Amino acid sequence: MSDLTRRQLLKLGAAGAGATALAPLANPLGFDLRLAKKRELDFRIAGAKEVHSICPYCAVGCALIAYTKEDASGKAQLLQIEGDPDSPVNEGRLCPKGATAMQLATSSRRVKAPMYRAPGSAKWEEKTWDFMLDKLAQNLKASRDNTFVAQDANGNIVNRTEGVAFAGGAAFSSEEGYFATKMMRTLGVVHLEQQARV
Amino acid sequence: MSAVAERVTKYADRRRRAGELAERYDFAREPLALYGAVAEAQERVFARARADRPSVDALAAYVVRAALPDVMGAVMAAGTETLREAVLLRFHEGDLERIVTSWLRGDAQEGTDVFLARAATSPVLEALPEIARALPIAGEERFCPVCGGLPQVSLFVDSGEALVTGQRRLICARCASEWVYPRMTCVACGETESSKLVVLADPEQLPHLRIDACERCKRYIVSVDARLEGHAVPVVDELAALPLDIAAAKRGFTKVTPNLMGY
Repeated sequence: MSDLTRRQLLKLGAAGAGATALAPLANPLGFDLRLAKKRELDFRIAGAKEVHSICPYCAVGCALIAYTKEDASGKAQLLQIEGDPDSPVNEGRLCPKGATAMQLATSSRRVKAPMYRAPGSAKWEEKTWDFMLDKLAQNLKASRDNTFVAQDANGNIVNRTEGVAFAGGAAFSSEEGYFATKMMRTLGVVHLEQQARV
Repeated sequence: MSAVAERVTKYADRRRRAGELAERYDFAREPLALYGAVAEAQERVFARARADRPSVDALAAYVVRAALPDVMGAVMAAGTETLREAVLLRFHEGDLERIVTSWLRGDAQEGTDVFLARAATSPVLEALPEIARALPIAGEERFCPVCGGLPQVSLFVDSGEALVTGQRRLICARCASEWVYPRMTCVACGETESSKLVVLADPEQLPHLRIDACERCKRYIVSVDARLEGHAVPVVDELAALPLDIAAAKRGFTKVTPNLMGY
């Protein structure tokens, strides 16, 4: 075979590689890829996604990257959570609590339904949200009525509820925080706090 | 350690790593073996370039004279038949300087020419960043902050602190410079919509390697997670992602730029 023919062959090879671009990976240097192609079939190569999220635990709002994969039933499965290195808020850092944020979704000890312990009872039982809402309303009303102070010792009108305290959650939105404050003030609650920190 | 000694050690690391990975991954043994042989030649080219300090105008001629013979020798000893034939052909009739110049311009070239030009030129650029800085680029966009070249591999590094995730880094395919680039952003088109960005991986077979692909521009890059594999040498480990490359090709994705071994 003359050099010229060989050169034409190489050119043909390059053109051929372009024409069959859909064939996975025709290697221009002549490596034998059969074993790699076989491995690719044996491997369980799955598509995964990275999504942005925000740590729910406190008001700092550290940015998270959540690594998720769809399981066989098409449900997103959370594989890993880490700090987002490109966020100006936390620059990839997380506090020890935030670093465990994945457990919020995956912990086997996570409570998944409202739990109720009756007065004097030693055990928790699962209840419906409707039951809980009624119970909360009844207890809140009873505590308010029992501990409502209309006038202080000097005769000043104060209209306050001293037997109830309220702690807002760190994951509250502004609207939820506003609503909680309005509602508690309406009931006369003065011990109003916010868990806006770790 | 002096800068020169440090960089030369890099080549020793690359050779060692190519040997390790060739043992571990039979499917990439051939390209890794050639990479090891080429890295040995490149180490000599690197040291020579540091001593000779050619000018940017004389770069192509310098590469042909002082770098290509070593690389061609490595190919004749460890290359595929296709590569050995191409070397013989080029050695006898080829305009070697034009091959190097074309590669520097980013022209479309035959795969074997790309290999020869890249294997011989990149250690010179790695040795002399001042030359890399003066290079032309193929498209309109500059990627590598030193030479403007395309990224070869994406790298996640251990930050050294348990609760801190380090920034993602990219490594240049031309001059091996490293730069910081945001995570969850396509390295080719800049897409940031996470529903358009796909990760392909087999966490059991290749835990520290994955593909970051973009549904918008259909391109991808291999990411090496050095947090899961402390001894990883990114440019070498990238060569072992071959089954993932095949999976990506099947899904219609193309690598931002092929690696030295042409895939």
